[in-house]
Amino acid sequence: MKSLASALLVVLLASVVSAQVSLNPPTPAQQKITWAQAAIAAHPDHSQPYNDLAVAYVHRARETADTSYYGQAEAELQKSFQIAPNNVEGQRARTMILLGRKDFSGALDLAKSLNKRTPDDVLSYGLVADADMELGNYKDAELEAQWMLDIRPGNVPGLLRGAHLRRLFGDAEGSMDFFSQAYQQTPPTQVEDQAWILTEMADLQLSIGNTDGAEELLHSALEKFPGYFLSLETLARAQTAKQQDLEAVELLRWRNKAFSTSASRYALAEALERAGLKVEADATFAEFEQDARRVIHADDNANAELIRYYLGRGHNSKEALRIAAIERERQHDVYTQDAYAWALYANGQFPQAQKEMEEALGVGIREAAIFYHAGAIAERSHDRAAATRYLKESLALNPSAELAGAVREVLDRLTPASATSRHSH
Amino acid sequence: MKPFRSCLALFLIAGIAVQPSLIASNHREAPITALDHKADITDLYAFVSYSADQAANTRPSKVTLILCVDPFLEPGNGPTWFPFDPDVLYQIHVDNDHDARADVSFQIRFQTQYQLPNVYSALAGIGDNGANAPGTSNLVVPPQIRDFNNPGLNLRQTYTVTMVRNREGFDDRDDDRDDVAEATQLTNSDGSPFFAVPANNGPRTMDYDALYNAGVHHLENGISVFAGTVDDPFWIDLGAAFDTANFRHLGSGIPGVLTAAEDAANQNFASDTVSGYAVNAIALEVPIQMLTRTSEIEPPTSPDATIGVWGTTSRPRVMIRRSPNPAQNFGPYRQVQRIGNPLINELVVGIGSKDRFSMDKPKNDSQFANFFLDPPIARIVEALYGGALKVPAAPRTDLLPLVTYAAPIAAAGTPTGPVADLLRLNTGVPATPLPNATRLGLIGGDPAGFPNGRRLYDDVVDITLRVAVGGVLIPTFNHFPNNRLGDGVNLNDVPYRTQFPYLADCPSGRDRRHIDPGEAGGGPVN
Repeated sequence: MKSLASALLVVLLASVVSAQVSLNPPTPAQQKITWAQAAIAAHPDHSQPYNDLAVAYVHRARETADTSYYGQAEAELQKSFQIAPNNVEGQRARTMILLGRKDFSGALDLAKSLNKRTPDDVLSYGLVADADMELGNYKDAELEAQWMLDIRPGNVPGLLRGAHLRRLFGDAEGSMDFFSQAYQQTPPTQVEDQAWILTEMADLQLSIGNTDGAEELLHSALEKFPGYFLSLETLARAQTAKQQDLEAVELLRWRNKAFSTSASRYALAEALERAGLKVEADATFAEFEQDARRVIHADDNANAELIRYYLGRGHNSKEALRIAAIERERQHDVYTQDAYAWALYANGQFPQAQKEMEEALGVGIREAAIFYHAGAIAERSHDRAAATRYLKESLALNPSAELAGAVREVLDRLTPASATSRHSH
Repeated sequence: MKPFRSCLALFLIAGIAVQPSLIASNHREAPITALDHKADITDLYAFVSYSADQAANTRPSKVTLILCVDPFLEPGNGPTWFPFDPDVLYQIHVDNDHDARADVSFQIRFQTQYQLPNVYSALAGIGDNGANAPGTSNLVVPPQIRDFNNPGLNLRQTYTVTMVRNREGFDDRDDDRDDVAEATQLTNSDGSPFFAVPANNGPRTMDYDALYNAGVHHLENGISVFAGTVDDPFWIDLGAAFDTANFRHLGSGIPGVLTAAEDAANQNFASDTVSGYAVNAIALEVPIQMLTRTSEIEPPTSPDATIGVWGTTSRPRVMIRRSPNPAQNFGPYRQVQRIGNPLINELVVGIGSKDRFSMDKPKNDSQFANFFLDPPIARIVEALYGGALKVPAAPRTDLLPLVTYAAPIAAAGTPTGPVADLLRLNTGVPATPLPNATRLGLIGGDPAGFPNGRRLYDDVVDITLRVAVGGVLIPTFNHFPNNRLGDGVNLNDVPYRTQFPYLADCPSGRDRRHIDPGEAGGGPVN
C-alpha cells in the first residue's frame, strides 16, 4: 500500500500548488463553446468548428449533468455532416453523444467503424473500450485499452481506461497508480478533468474504506472545480460513511440545486431518511419513483437506483427483479449483474442468483458490497464455505462500510465461534 | 456505487494530442516512431555475402543481415552521442517456410557502462599518453581511444546476440518464451563481450577505424556480428521526394526522369540528403544453412532457397493486468516498429494506419493488402505528371513479388504464403561480382539485387519509383518515362566497405559534410 499512499500524496500536493485562484471564470467547456462559436462565425462553411462545438456541448454535459446539451451537440453535428458527410471527427463526436446517452450498443458499432477507418487513432480505441466496458465486454475492452497504452505509452485516455479496468479486475492499487499518472499529466487549466480524476480516485478510496483519504481528494476536486456535481455526490457518500447524515443531506441539496437527476434525487432521499427527515424523504422518494419509472425502458435511466429502491424502501422485490432483468438485457457489466443477482436473491431464486454472481466475480472485481451480496447468496445456497469466504473478503476490503453490520450479522450466523471471539474483544 | 465510466469519453479530447507527423524516407515514417527515435528503424538489408574480388557464380555460403536504427545522427552531436537503447529489444527475423512467421530470430540487447562517470563527455582522448594536469602526473584526458578498454570510451556499450529457433506453427510473439524451441547466446570464443562501436567524434579523440575493425566479431560457428554507429548507408534526395515529389530538373527536362546517361552513371545529380549523417547499425553474417528450413544451402531453383526477412524493435509494455506478487507494471514487449521491404510504410501505407502497421506482425498483413495492391503514391505521382505518366490500374498484381513468395525471386513451386511485407531473398542466387552489379538490381538485370534481398548499393528509391509507380514489371509499362524515374541520387556519398559488415565509417563529427543542393555533387537547386 506504500505506492498507494505516495500516489495520494503526489496528487494532494499537486492540487495545492495549482489551486484555482480566480472567481467564477468560464469553465473549460464554456471556453470551448465560445471558441467554437467564434470559429463557426469565421468559417461557417467548414465542418470542423461544428464538430468542435458539438464536443464542447458534450463536455458541458459532463460538467453539469444536464443531458439537454446532447441535443444541442446533435444539432451542430447535423450542420457538420451537411458540409462533410460522414466526416471522422463528426462521427467521433456522435459516438461521445451515444455514450453520454448510454446507448452503448449504438456507440460500440459506431466506434468500431471509426476504428476501422483510422486504426492509428488512439481516441477511437478509447471509444470502443468505453462501450465495451459498459456492455461488460471486458476482454475486448482490455485489449483495446492495452493497445492504447502500447501505441502511445502513458497517454491520459489510455491510463484512465486502464485505471477503470484495473479496478474491475480487483487491482485497486494499480488503478490508483494509473489515475495518479493521468492526473499529473492533465493540464492545470483543465480543471473539470482534474476534478473528475480526483473524484474517481476518491470513489476508489471510499470503496476500500479510506474515507479520510477520499474526503481530502474530494475537497481538492471541489477547490479546482467548485460545485462539481460528481464531487458533491461522492463527498455526500463519504459523509454517510462517517455517519454525518445531515452533512450528506446538505451536500446533496447543494448538488441538486443546479441540475438534479432521478439518481441524484434518490441519493438525496436516502440521505434524508438516514438523517431522520422522514417527511421530506417520503416526498423525495415519491418524486424519484415517479420520474424513474417513466424512463425504465430508456437508455438513459435510473434503473440501478430503482432496483435498490424496490429492494429496500419500496418493498417490491418482484418489480425490482423485473427492472433488473430489463437492465441485464441491455448491459452485462458487473454492476448490472450484481444488481440482477441481488434481485434474484430477494425473490428466492438462489441458484440463478449464485450463477449470476459467480459470473460477475469471475471478472476479478473486489468490492465490499458485491462480496456481501455474494456471501449472502452463497449462504442461502447452502455453500457455507463460499459464503464465509466472501463475507470475510467484504469485511477485509472495507470494515467500515455502511453494510459492514449486515455482513457481520450473516457471518455470525455462519461462524458463531468467531462472533463470540469478536464480541469478547 | 457504479463508477462514472461513461464520462471517460471526454478525456479523448483533453488528454491527448496526436499529430500525424510528415512522412520522411524510412526515417521517422510513422507517428509512433517519429516519437521514439531510438526504436525507429531506418533500413533493413539482406543479401548473399560477397568479397571485393568475388568471382561470378561463386556458390553462396553466407547471408548478411543489417538492421539500421536511430536516423539522422549528426556525428558532432556530443556529449553523449548515440548509444543504442538498453530498453529496446532489437530483432532480425527469418521466415524459412513461407508462412510469414519467424522461424529463426536474432535478438540483440545492449548494456551501458560508464568508465569515467564524472567526466562530462562520453568520448574523450588525445595522443598516445593523454594529457596531465599542468605540472603534475595526474591524468586528466585519457589517451586517444584505439580499443574498447580505453577509459576515454567513457560511455561504453556491450551487447548480446541470442539466436532463437521458434517452434513450428507457433506465433512469433516478441520474447514470448513459450514460442521458443531453442535459444543460443552467441559468444566470442574467449568469452569476451561484444562491444558496440561508438560514433566517430573526431580524429583527436579516437582512431575510429581501429575501433570499427575491433568491433567485428567472428565467432566459431561461422557467424559474424557487428554493432555500432556508422555512415548512414541510405541515400535519397529526401527534400525533393517529400516536397510532394518535387524532383529536380535534370538532363531530361522532366523532373524525376533521368536521361540514359544519367541513369547509367555512377555519380549523383542531386543532393544526398542523408550525406554526412550517421546511423546505428546491427549487422550479422550467418551461414546459410543456419537459416534455411532444410539446414542446407539450397540451389536457386529450390523452393526452400527463398527466405523472408524482417526487423523489429520492441519495448517493454505497461500492462493493464499486472503480474502479482509483487505487482509488476511491465510485461512482455510491445513492438514499436518493423521493416521488411524499404519504403512500404513510408510510401504505401496510409497515414491513419502507419502505427498499426508498425506494431503488427507480417502474418497479419492481409489487412493492408489494399495499400499494397493499390499504392496511393502511384496515383499521386500520376496526378502530379498531369497525364504524361501512365501508371497501371489497381489491383497491382505486378507488385505481388514484393509481398508474397513469387517469381522472379522465389523458384517455381515455392508456396506463395500470405500477403506479408518481408524482404525476400533467394539464398541460392550467387552474389554478383561488384564490377557487374547494378544499382537497379533485378530490373537492371542483376539477379542478386533488390527486390531479391537488398544490398547496400541497391537504389531502392529509383527501383521503387519504377516498380511501384511506373509498373515496369508489366512489360507494357516498361518504357520511357516509366523506366527512367529517379531522384538523381544514384549512390551513397561515401563508398561502402567490401567485406562484412560492408558499412562505411561514421563521418567524423569534427569534419563531416552534408551535401546540399547547389553544391558540387549536390545537383541543382531548381
